[in-house]
Amino acid sequence: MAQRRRDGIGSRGVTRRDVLKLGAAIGPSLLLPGWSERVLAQDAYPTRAIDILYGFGAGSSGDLTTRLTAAYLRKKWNVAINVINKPGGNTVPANLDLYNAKPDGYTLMGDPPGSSSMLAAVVKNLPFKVMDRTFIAMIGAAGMFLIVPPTSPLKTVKDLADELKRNPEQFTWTSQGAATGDLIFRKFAQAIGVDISKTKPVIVRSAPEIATLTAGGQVKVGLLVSATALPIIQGGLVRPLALALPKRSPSLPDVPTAAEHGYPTISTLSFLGISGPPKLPSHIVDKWNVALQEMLKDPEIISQLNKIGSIPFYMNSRDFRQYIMDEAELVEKLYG
Amino acid sequence: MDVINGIISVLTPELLLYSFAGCVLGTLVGVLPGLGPAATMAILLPITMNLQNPTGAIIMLAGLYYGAAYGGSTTSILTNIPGEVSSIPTCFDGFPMTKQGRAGEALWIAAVGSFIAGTIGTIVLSIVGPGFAKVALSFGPPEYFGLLFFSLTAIIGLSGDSVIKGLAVGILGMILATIGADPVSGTMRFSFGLVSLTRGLDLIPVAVGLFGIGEILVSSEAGMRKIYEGTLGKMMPRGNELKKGLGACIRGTALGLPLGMLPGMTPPVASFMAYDLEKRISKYPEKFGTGVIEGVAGPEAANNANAQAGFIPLMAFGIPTGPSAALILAALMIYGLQPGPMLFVTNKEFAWTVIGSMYVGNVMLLILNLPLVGLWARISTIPYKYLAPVILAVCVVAAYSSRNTMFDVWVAVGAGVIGYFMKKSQWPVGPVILGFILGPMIEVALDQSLNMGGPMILFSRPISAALLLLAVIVVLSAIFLRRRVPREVLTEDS
Repeated sequence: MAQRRRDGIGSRGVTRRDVLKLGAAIGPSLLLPGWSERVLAQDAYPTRAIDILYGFGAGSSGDLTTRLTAAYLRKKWNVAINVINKPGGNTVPANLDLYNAKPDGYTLMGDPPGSSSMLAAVVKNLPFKVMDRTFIAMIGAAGMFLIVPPTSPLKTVKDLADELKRNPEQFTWTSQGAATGDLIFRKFAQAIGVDISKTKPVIVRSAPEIATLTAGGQVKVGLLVSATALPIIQGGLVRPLALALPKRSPSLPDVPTAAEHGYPTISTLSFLGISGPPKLPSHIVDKWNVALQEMLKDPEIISQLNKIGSIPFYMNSRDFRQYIMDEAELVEKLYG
Repeated sequence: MDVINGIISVLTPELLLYSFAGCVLGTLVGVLPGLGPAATMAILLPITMNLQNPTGAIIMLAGLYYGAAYGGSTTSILTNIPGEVSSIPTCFDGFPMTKQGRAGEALWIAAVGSFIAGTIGTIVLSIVGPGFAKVALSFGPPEYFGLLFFSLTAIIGLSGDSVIKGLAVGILGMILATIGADPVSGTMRFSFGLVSLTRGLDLIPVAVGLFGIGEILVSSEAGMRKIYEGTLGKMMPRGNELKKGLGACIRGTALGLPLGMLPGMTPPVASFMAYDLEKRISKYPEKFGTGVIEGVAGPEAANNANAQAGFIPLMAFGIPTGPSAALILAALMIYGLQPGPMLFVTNKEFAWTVIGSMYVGNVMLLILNLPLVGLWARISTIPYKYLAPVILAVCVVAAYSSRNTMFDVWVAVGAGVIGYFMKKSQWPVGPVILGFILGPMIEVALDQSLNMGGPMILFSRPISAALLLLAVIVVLSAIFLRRRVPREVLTEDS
């Protein structure tokens, strides 16, 4: 206690070290106007290990993208960057760890839709505000395929729409809870005027489960992230109807997009961004943005992202924030 | 022959080194409680991407995956702490064997059982792999529900002197598993507004607490000086013991293999069912829990077979059966090796080299593990006052590392206290874990089935109806048989 009072502002005397610090801060700025403390602080980050939390288990595209990023920046910045999986509780515990962390850039989070834009759909009365965090940047995105069993009579997205309209009560589809696939199907139902609550979502807990359920003909349609979908589509275990992205996948250029089928509104990014605690200083946000932009130009990283079924998808801090805000609003409407 | 070519192509110094590295890491991960293969692979994945040898990297990750299944039994047998969740049933008879100075035999049969299961699993993968795995796809939610419901009957075998007690704690396990976000709608259950509880309870802290910490409390109170006092006996089981152990290895493999091909039927389910099977067909079921070699051999073979069989849907279809397999899939994709039927055509040499490495890797693991048996077995003769704090520390680290949160440490401590009282008052602990594992799986399978076609779907699909009927028959016959067994025999069990 006494220690703290002595260090407190006001009661503190000027020490030799303070004078030196002052000199160090003023010195360069005398030489170069504009070269102020800000730059010095910038140089000082990062000096120690950075923890990147992730609100889900290991192995998903989002987790792998986070790990790729960590591996790249570890080399660049020469500090340890640990990806720490903190699954459970609809990501609320991981989020709280982020919100309670010091905004010093040493605790950040890999942020997919499930821990940000879609969170309010499953958790009422969140103990924090999603928009209060610092959105650093969006890094990558994966697309979702609409897949059907190989024996399915549904050949196009239009067939799917007709079947859904004709018989919603018997229509089974895979839902991963508050995740992009679920959002896409809700957008689709809304676009064709079908009440989603009449349909039969088959709730799954993992992407591979969607693969087996669809390949085994247990559901009428599956919504599956590209990383898991690619092998089973290429192996002929399921038939793809469309990719719910604005652009075709480089790995499967023959599969049309939902927009080409006439359903542009259902395109949705299964994104991954990096977020920080509320009030993260802007120089840290900038430092990350510079590094991430550079990373996303690295051909090695681009090819690695492609191989795990993702594409580099950069959005700066402001655009990423706006994107989350828009998607969260839509989610609120659709899940009401 | 593709298989022979595959084995030959692994026999280069470089690939052997990768395989060896994977096996050693896997054994280590298996031995250390809490540290699972999935977490380790997630850490290794970005590193392996820098390797210039994709085949080597995949061989290493695969070795890590099946190596972990080998090592999991070590701490179960020696200290009653499961090294992996799938090695929980190994504690039931493995630890009593250690207390009798037979740790060597238990470790020996666990290693040999793992080898038999791993090798048979690889043979099945090489011969009938893709064709066999197709059956797994016809297994939908109603079939899973039937199978899981049937698995619940294992509670009877784990109950000790009273089935009622077993059922009660089995249901307790199921209730504990419901804490946190409901797997279907995400609604919070039993969280009492506490953020920590919204995470739900994780299996590892609960298991480490109930078994490990509970055991330490009971043993310390009893003033145990050493887990085993006296000179250690033979390391290799002989004669009849060996025959019984090997028989159980074969049965465990036969059970674990088909279960391993079903996504979601993780190794723990297979090992619990194998333990139950051994007890059920045994001529002396009352002796289980007191150090019966079949109780170690069956589950260990089953969980290794289960792990190895996971490669069948993974390589044939690109469908991972669990988190570790999902990471191997990710690694394959990063190297541009698309798993699926085409893998055996477009990357034939690679596919068979990886399969070849599994034969070699299983032999390596056996060579690695058998000489260690004697060394490990000596742990049982370390004075308990030195051993107990180490075990306790390992328990705490294990609990923390499963989800990187202090909350799980408190869960483990709480579970330890509950485990202590349960042991003292002769309540069975096994059913708690079984209920905990099966509860959420049953809930999801039931919900999926109901949405697919209402309750009748469970009875109208032949496999699920047959499994449900089988469960009823097993329960009825158990009640009937129990009535004929004198009560003294049943109580002797605990």
